[in-house]
Amino acid sequence: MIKSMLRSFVLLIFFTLLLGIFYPLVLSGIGKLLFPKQANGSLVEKNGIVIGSSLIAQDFVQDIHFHGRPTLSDASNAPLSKAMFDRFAERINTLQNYNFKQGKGVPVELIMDSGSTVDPDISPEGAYFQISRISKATGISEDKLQKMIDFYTKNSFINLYGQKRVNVLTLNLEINSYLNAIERLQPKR
Amino acid sequence: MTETGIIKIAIFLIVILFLVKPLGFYIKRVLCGETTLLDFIFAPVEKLIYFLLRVKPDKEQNWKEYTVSIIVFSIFSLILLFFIQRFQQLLPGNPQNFGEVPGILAFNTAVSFVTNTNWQAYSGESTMSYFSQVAGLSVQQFLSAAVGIAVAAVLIRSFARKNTDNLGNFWVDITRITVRLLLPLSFILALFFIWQGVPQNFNNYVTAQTLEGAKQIIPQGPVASFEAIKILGTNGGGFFGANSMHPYENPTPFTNIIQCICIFLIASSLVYAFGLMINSKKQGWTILIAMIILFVMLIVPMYYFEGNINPQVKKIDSSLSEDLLKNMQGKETRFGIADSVLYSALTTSTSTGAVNCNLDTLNPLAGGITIFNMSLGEVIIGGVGSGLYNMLMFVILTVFIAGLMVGRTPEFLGKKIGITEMKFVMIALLISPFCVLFFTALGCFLPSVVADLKAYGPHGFSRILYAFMSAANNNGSSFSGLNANTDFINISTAICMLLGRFVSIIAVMGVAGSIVRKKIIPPTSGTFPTTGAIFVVMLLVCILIIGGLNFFPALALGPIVEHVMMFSP
Repeated sequence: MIKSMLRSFVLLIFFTLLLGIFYPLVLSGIGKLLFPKQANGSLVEKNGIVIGSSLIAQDFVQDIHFHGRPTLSDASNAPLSKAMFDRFAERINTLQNYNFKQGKGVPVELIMDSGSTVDPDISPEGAYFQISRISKATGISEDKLQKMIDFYTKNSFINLYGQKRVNVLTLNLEINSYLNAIERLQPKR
Repeated sequence: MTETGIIKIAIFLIVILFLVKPLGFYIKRVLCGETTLLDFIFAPVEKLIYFLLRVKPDKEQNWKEYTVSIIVFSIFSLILLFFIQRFQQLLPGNPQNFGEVPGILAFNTAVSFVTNTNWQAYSGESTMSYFSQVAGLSVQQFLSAAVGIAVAAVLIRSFARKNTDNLGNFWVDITRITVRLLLPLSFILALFFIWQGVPQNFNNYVTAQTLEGAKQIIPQGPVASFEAIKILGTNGGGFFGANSMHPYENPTPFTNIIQCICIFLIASSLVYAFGLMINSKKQGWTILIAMIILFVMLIVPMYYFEGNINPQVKKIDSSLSEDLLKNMQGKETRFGIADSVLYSALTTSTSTGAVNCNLDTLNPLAGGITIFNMSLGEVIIGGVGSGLYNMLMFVILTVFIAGLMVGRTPEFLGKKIGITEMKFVMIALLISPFCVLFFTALGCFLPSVVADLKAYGPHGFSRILYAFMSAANNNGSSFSGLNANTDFINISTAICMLLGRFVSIIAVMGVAGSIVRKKIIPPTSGTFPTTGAIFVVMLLVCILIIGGLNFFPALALGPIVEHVMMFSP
């Protein structure tokens, strides 16, 4: 018994050092060496300022931007929750009016909440759905926006696992740099 | 339900069947004390440990000594993990300056990680310092998995040996399993995760200035190293509260399917190693195939029910096409329905308890099947080690029932099954159903629990049932609607986790201690064969009847009623 206690104590100290300190530190070192961007959280910088991470959704509310997924607002998400159905109905209505798509089907991931609350992607259909509104707000042609979406759409893994998706932040960065380019072309007042 | 979804599940199973053989062979060498790959690295580390512990590696223990070692080691683990959380504000590796974890929560969490459950009543990113995560929780993710495999190894040895008391040495087993199996595999898997986008750093949380000018705080941390052992050790406790839904824990469909494979990997290879160690590969395959048949039997209806459209959603806007109404509530765009169902079925049928979608928002019967998966006692591949030893308890029960039917003394692998073994087997099989039903009933009577549910009727009941099912079977996932961080839930789930883990471990050790002493009787023409199709059917019937009889009434009150209600006008 006493022997077991001593052994437990020593073994725990040893394994805390090996598995708890050495293993994660070595991995951090190797990770930073081989995959520095990923190991540091896939952060996106613009003019030296961190504007987010390509893996973490951020809120977009402006007309010129693609909007991402809605997120859980409370815990009433049982499969038969009345509050949840009301939320869906309201979102469908709002999205159709906002995107000039009255009477058109709204892609499901824009209606239903993401699980993680930080889902960075939407489906290509979810992006197409917002084209008219963005085109009107930015002056970028619908055709160009469509091509932009297709260009940034990521395929599922070996065309089998997962779903086609497009990163909302990537699209919006592209829109912003396009708008900036136009601004630069115009003569200064 | 689509063909693509079925193909996804089929390819997954084929990959597993290919990997079982090489890894099973490797695990057998680890458990039998033979040399393995990279011996020149592992052997000196092990020698150092044996020297520090004053252990003679070839001196073996009997079942009582071995059990005492497990219990003492686990108690020490509990104490250490508890105090790391309580003093995290004084320890290094706490850039966010989190305060001490409250006492009852720290106790619940310590129990949860030492019992390989990983039930989490907290959110990692807002509660735990980096030091608590890596040096506390993550270490126990390794060690609790190693303990599970060690117990399985003991049970296997008891059948492979005869007329002896020696069952192996706990300190050697846990060392070899950790150093040769869990650590190298985790290392490789973690590197893969980093490549795919899982962070691995000790930086402060990043404050970003978003495109629209808002402030966003992005948590960081050594996620990849944590994630790897979380999956391989069938632990399931996430670095973040959102677990494998979080893009930092599971960034791509590629990481998702690799996680799926790794969840099954060690536990299923261990069944193959069992076949090798008892010198009957056929016996190993028989058990593995029974497990896989159970898995398919449950994932196919689960996928079917989750693919169905909720009629209540259809009512919102009947003009919408069905494709626009599939249940994406609580799911991630990159995974979609089929991959989420596969992941949920895997993590509830092994005792992993990681989630890549919100289980609370699954359609009622799909959620019901996740509960049913756990209710069978985590024997569908199951947790690392625990899956195999619990399954062998069912095997012994099946042999016993078959023996009664044909009127012969039941025997398994040449060992007579007697009264002592059957007593221990029944304790091992009945402890978790007892905990689940007792505490679920108790929870339903407590106004404080019911008031916290935020959902009434069958779904509220399912949330309570899920919590105790998950705790007592050491799974660790939950229906997120339940407020888990209350004194009652923290203490009662901790009791469930402790009883579900250690009572069954002691019972399994008791079986092993009794079996190993017996002689091996050569099979005769009258011996009931324990390989082949007939035995698989008997075993499945036995498992399903026990799981069904224990829990059918409870399931009827929860998910089944809710399913019927879905069709109300």
